[in-house]
Amino acid sequence: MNLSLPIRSASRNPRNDESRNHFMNYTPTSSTEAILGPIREPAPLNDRLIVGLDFGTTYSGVAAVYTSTPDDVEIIKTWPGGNGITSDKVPTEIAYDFPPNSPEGTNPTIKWGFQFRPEESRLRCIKLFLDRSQKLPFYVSPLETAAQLKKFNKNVVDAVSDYLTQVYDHTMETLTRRYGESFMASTKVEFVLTCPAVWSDAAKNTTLQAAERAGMGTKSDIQMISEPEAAAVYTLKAIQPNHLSAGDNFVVCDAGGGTVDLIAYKIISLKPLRVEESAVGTGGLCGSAFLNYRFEEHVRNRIGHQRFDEMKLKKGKCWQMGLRYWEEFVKRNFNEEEHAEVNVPFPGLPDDEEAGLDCGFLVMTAPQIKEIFEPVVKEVCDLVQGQVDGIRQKGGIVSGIVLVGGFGQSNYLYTRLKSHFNTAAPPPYSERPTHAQATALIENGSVEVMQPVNAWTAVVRGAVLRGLEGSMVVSRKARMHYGTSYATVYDEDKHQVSERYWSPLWERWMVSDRMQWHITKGETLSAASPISFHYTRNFRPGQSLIVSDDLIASDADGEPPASYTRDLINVCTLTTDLGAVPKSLFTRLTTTRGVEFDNLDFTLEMVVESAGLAFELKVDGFRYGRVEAEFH
Amino acid sequence: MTRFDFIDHYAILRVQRQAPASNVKTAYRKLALAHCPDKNSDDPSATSDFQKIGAANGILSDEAKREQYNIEWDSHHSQRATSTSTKTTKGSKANPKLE
Repeated sequence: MNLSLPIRSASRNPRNDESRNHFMNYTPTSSTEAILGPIREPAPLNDRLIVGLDFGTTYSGVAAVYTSTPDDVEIIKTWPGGNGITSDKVPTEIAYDFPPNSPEGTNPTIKWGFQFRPEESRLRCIKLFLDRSQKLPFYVSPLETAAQLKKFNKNVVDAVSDYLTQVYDHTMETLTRRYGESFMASTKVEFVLTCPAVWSDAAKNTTLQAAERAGMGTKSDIQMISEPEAAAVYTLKAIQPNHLSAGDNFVVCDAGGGTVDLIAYKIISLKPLRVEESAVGTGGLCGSAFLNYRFEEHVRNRIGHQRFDEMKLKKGKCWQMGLRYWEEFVKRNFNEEEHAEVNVPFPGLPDDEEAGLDCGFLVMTAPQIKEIFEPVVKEVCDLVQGQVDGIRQKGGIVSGIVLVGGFGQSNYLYTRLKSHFNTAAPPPYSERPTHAQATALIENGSVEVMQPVNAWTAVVRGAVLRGLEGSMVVSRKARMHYGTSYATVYDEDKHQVSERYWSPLWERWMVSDRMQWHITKGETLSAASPISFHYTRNFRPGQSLIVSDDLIASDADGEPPASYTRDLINVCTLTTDLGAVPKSLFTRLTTTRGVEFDNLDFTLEMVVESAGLAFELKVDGFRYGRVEAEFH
Repeated sequence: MTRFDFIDHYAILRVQRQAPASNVKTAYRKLALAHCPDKNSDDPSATSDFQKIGAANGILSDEAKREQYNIEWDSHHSQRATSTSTKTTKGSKANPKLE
């Protein structure tokens, strides 16, 4: 049955419109609308897919969320080469190969993630090569990595961007399968990338470049968040922090495969949740990958070097089985109280009472396991204690430690940290707290150790939440002193006579290479209030108005030096074109010898974000042109 | 470091802006010896480095040329301003304020 009902439809008859407009005194656009644009957006076109990418030292993870269903965070769990077995993460490993008999100049084929047989050689820990100031763990050979890269005419950034390209392609394929092609074609995909808290500015920039080359958008479109900050974002959302109150500090310990990253936050307000960094990020190379090497050494010593090497070489599956049990069961679940001994499967190894091999299992006692764990656990404890001490010295109260990352899931690490920080009994109850009690509480007060569910994927989940909600961190701590060098008028009270020179342009005695420090290490910075540097410059007529200055950093713990020295770090060169500045803002001046020049005062503004620096150049409060930062 | 058409000859010779002529001379000799293309046949940039060192010395060792160049150098280096809000009167013969 087909009924024709009078419905008000959206499709309009143009003649009707004409007559209605005529009678209703219709004007095409109001003047406000013409100036300010459409008053209301016709439809919410700004729904986006936010993809978080945790590019880790040993494993990487991807999470995605659609902005209109923000509670539905999805973790990618299927990976090429995974043989149908799901995994929250994929190994950060890549290898190149030339197909057999390929002519010269052929592009090498790429294998990555789970696509390797156990014995195949591959590039590991490539992430750590991005920051030249980072130490490499002993099991990564820089020479071997360099040799492999050279053979295929690649550098570290190529390898990283090739790896990220694989991750990107797989992510887009997975999302397309999930949401459909037409949805993907019409929906903007935004990437949020994580990086260690201790990364240098140059390393962050290199990471962004690699992500840009992988197709994740332009450098300015890709957001970055530090790993512990991402972990904190997720944890505070996941565990309702009932026992935390405004003013409290908590330390986030992101114990990953290769590195351990720490950062401390102070809670500014609980609703809405706002925090600020309360201690500068620290870190160490004591991730859980070390435990695997210590485990390997242990097995080698127990069953004998010859038998071990034979097993690893000829019975690869046997060794892989044992290592996997170690990785997935022992490392995460080992607990002294529950496990007096652990049986690690090594199928096919003959019984050997002396070595402790029985029915294809290697018996490991709790003390033996503890011995393997001890140095790594101790270093993590020391790092956390260091942060806690730092906050307490400044009179802050530390009420929680949040444990995240692969090794952060470890039961043993959790128990050890808990006993380390919960030794003091609570002070006796009294009506009014005494000063002594308050001091005792600050010095020995117990700290709650928290381990959220999904500790392994906390970073990537936090990255997605950041993309969804924007920053909850209102201020951060500077990791270095930041400054610029300048020349100034010689002052006999401040400078040596030998340092001065006569400037024919300024017609004064001057000194150069003075350092002005705009940001002090450990200082609280807010993205809302940029830091301004004021300059003045004399341009000769016809001189290029492209101005460049170096941003210089110092890692000194005390006062940074007053003049430029070779051990200072050249962070980047800031270049801007002042060509757009109106000529009327320049002041024409002439020296006594008739040299003409145009003087201009300008301000360089720097904004500090979670994982990077942004710059603007202003004259009289107005922005003219972009500042390009070229990192060294 | 890119300063476009501007070349920092002081930076090339690794001497300071106030360095006396004798320092410029020693710095040039040391660098020229180290970067001599005959001794650095395996370094492809040796020849161009050597030429840059020579050009820098040509200007900085000549008193008149150095003085002329100093104007250029000064105009390519930022000075710290005491404040951006106070502007000197236009056409003033005096140099602008510096800290």
